[in-house]
Amino acid sequence: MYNKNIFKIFILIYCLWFLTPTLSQAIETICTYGKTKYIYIGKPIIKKEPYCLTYPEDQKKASLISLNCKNKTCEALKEPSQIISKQKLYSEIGSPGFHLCRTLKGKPQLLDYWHGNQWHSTSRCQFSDDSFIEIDYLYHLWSKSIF
Amino acid sequence: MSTEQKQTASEVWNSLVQEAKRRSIENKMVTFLNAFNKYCGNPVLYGMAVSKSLPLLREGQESHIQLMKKEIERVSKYRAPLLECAELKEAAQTLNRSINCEDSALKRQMSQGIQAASNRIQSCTNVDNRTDILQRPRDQDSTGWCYAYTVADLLSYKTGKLISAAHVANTYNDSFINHTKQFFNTSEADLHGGMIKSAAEKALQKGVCLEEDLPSSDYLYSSLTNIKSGIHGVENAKDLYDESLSPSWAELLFHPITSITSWATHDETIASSPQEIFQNCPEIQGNWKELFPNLNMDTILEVLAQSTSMSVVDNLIARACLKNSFVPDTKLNIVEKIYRGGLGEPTPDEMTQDIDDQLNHKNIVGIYYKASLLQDRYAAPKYGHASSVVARRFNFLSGACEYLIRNSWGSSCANYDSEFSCSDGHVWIPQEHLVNMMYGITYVQ
Repeated sequence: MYNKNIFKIFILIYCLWFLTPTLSQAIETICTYGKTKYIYIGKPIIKKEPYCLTYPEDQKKASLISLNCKNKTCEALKEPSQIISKQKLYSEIGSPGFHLCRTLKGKPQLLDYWHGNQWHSTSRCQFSDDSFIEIDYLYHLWSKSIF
Repeated sequence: MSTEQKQTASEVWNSLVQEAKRRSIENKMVTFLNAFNKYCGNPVLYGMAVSKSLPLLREGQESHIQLMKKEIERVSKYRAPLLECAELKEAAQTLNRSINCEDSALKRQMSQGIQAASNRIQSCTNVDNRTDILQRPRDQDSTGWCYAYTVADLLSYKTGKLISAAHVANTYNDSFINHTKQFFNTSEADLHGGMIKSAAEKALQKGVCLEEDLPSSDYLYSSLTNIKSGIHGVENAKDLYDESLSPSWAELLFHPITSITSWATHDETIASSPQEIFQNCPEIQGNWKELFPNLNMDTILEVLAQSTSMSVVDNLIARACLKNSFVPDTKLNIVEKIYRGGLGEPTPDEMTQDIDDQLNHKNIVGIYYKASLLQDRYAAPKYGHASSVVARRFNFLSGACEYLIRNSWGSSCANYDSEFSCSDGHVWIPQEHLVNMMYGITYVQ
């Protein structure tokens, strides 16, 4: 019983800790401890993990980023630093967004995330510091370096 | 700036020089020069690039005027060329010229376009033939199997069973030409490109395999690998397997003592070694389980023992599909029409009528087209690609009849021309642009 109460208090503190920065954030980025779904070796895996939805001014929709990208200091959101040849991204093989992700040394992954009482299908690019970014948003950020 | 970056910058510059001969490059040039200045950090080189860009910009504007005039004429067969007229005016203004769309020739094309659109409203009814069986758009990722994903869409739609695109590609790759390529060490996953009709017919002859037995959506079934690296992994594993059974002749010849030692080591483990190697290596197991979820380790080892490195993937696929592969009850007829510019061939306009017919009869249609035009409707036509057309609508804002392309680039919408509306990997292409990019259709009757 004693252990269970400690566990509940721990969860409560954790949630408060987690929500405090979320609530104090500006409206353009909302973080949550939500569900993601992907397929692993033929089976759907549903996982609870923190992620954020950011609302860039020049984008029509919310974009998925990792919690460690909230302050824009992660690898996934680092400033473009090279010119990328469109020819390489649009070869006859494969999808351009995945090519871009790999060119930037990321690992692309298809996944769904839970938001607003429904699953949203998307793909993300994961980097070595465990940061990730929705591939559409990554492409948008790099669009001025892709020719 | 690295050598690779210098080369990329040089390639981009050359492509801009070429592009200026066809259209305005103002936005691209400004963006490129900004990027070049930022990443290159050499003011002298940057200054040279700026000075060289000025005549190119002018050439681009001149070309754009000509391009827009042609586009107005072309587009007016389908809808009112309002957008093109605005672009024409803008291009003329940058060269201090004045062009008015109320001028007689342009005015005639405008009213021709309005008439064409009002005629098209009647036949361009809203049709959406997407069904649950198609699921979300797949992502071909690393493979060049767009034709196989299209075949899988067409056959899944007709049969009501989710067909494996990987199986379609594998069956197609078993052709004589591809076997010859494989003989020269081309991996199954590296065989790219194909024809929809031929791939569909081969798959139907052999019996089609279901997606659940042979997963083909890259990354949908994996967070570790993709089909391409998975197949490479399987082929490498076959080599590993063979090596684990015997030392090579070269080893015996040049390193007799160590070879004998290693032979002895191998000899001790012949009975259990392959099993142990494969069962204790999570990386190899990952590949097997992702590519062949219904095969156990004993079956895999049995196939490895009986196969050559050229046939190992084929044999594993055959085993994976053994129980559930099926041939549809009714005979399916595959119709394909290709336009190469020859006399007597169906034109893209005629093929659009076929697409309409099929959509009206609750069918979907595979198309061949140039993918560069998806990203930029005025780009030079490059990169052969295949997808399915699954819906049609009339866009009252633009006055265009639009077709919904179900692509195999996942749910991403970042890769398309901003004039095309996109949602969850499906992109609406106006008819006047579809006929410009399309060079073939295939459907199942």
